[in-house]
Amino acid sequence: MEVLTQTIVNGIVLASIYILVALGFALIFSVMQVLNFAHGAIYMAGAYVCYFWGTTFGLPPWAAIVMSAVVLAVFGMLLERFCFRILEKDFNRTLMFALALIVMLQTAADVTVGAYVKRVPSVLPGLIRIGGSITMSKERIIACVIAVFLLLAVTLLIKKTLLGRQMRGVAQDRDAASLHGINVHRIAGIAFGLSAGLAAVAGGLMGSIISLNTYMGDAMLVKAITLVIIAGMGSLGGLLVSGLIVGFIDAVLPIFIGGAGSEVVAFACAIVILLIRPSGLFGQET
Amino acid sequence: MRTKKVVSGVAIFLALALLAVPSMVSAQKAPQTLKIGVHAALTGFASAAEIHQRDGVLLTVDYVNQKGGVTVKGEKYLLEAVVEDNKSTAEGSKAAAEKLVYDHKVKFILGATIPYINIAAGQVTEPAKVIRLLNYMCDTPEEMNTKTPYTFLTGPAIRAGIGPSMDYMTQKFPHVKTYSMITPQDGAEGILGALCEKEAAKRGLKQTIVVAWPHDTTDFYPKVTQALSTKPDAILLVNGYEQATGPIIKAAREMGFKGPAAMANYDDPYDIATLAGKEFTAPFWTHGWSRDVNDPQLTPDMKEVIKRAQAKFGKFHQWNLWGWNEVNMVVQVLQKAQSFDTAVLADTFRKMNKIETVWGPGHMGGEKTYGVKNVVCSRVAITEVLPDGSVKHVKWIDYDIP
Repeated sequence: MEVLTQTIVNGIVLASIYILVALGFALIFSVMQVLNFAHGAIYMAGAYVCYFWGTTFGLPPWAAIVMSAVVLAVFGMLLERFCFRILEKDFNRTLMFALALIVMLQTAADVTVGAYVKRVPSVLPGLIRIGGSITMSKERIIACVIAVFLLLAVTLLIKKTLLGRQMRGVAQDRDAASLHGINVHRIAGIAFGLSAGLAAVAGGLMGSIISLNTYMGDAMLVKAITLVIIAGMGSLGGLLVSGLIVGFIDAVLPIFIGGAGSEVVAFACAIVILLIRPSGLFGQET
Repeated sequence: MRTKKVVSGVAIFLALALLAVPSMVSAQKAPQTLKIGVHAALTGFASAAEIHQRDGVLLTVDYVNQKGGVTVKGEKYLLEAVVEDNKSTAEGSKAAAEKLVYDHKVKFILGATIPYINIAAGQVTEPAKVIRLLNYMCDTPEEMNTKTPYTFLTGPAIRAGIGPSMDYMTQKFPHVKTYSMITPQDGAEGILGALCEKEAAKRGLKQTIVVAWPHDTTDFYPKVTQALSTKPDAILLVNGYEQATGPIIKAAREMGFKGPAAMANYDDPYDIATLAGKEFTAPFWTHGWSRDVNDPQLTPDMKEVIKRAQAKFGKFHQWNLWGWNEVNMVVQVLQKAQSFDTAVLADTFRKMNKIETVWGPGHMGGEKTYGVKNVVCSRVAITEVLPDGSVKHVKWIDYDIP
């Protein structure tokens, strides 16, 4: 019973972590139809920038995460303006650029901070007891809460605000949106900035829950892609379901089978969904 | 007139000859260079440790060269480290080994650590008869056997650490009767699980489960849940690295496990305490080492490495010790063999009765276990993380691999 309860809690926490990481990736994919493979590296950079703000400037963990999100948001907007905008019509070159960006960011982190063990200070140290027999760190609970909050906030932004309507317009038809007076480049910049900022928040939280290393973004990028495929393009709300599916697969299966088995099952789910419903569980059919 | 020309010509010739002599003399006395290959992960997950092993090699090469280098058959040789990145992958390992062997033509290669990386490099170095000094070995049969006569293990590896960890566990925590084993999924988990079970039985301990985690694991909660599901008295981590060990210990403590946890390899105790949380880690010990240069139990070589690393890199990492150890092995073997023939070097290495390691005196072993007497045996440390998060060197334990 205790193992079952712990597993359920693990699944919810993992789902939250994955949703947090995948949110920025899904936003860019939904709005700009860009598969930003550098998202994992931006998440990693966000974690290291958060560490930098916390240790060099002595900011409290909360402030360090916010500052890291601001820095990475500006970085995302600059990336869009000077890189992705130029390459936007060429998928292959966009992909090559993203791969090069991954190597650059990882090497920059290695060279500046070095391959030493580091951890972002905890945003909320301490433990909390759940249901009498299960204890969990408060920072994990906070990560869950922040993930759900950000998912709701971004979903409301897209659905209920003028900016969100403009983003949906651009996602539907860029040329038509432009003809209607929407500044497509401004929308793209905001989307990239938001995506990078979300990645930084995820990185800062995960850098505290687990640890920092320059390759921490690689595995998370794969999770983000899996979640987006299962949820479907254009469906941010679908991330909640896909996050829970993948989170519970990763929480439950490792208990019964060898570690990599859960990855295989998660990917198999993504493949089956792509075959049966190519637009994903909640994506719009084209 | 003619006589004057002849005298002038002779004088000029003598002057030129006198000028040439010092440069000829200095050319004769200038030391030659001996390249040593460093096969280390500079990228990928293993880089977290092996970058520091490389750094240890670099600072030891400086140290040896400052002392005049190595003398072989009356000739002085200064060492030069040539580094290739194995990228933490088998393909990268093979490519790095090929560059070192065929492009740089080295006779010695230092590193690496992970089983499939070691095995891949061995496929290149053994046929080329290049002496390879491994940092570490996970005891898979392919890493060292009778078909790898040029591969040597220069420091304590997992086989050396399991027994002492269990001994310390039973001495300090006599109530501990069961433990769950947590290890990376790298091909060695089956062999190490069986080895631990055998060692545990000798000490009246029972292994309740073997939990293997893939190298790209981001969250260890599911694996630790599995490990704790058998309600063990203790946790024994076998292999891994700090970025995994720390979160594993943290997860176990957050899930309410208060029993002893041990790392049977050489993870840095300071890094574990940083990642797990100083208030969480204890009771925990590892065979990694204290950094306290005032601790009389540390060897002079260890203190020298700590000081030099802090001076050169601004910070010491305990993997600097592996690099130092390997270079000093090369120097000792060359000085003893007085030859560059790798067959002679390998034979000399095997027959050395006494060999100095950075951790203290050592001897050669491994013939019964691996079929070749290619293992340097010395001693392991028991280093505890105390409840206040500080680190204490408890004692040294000598080990032998028969």
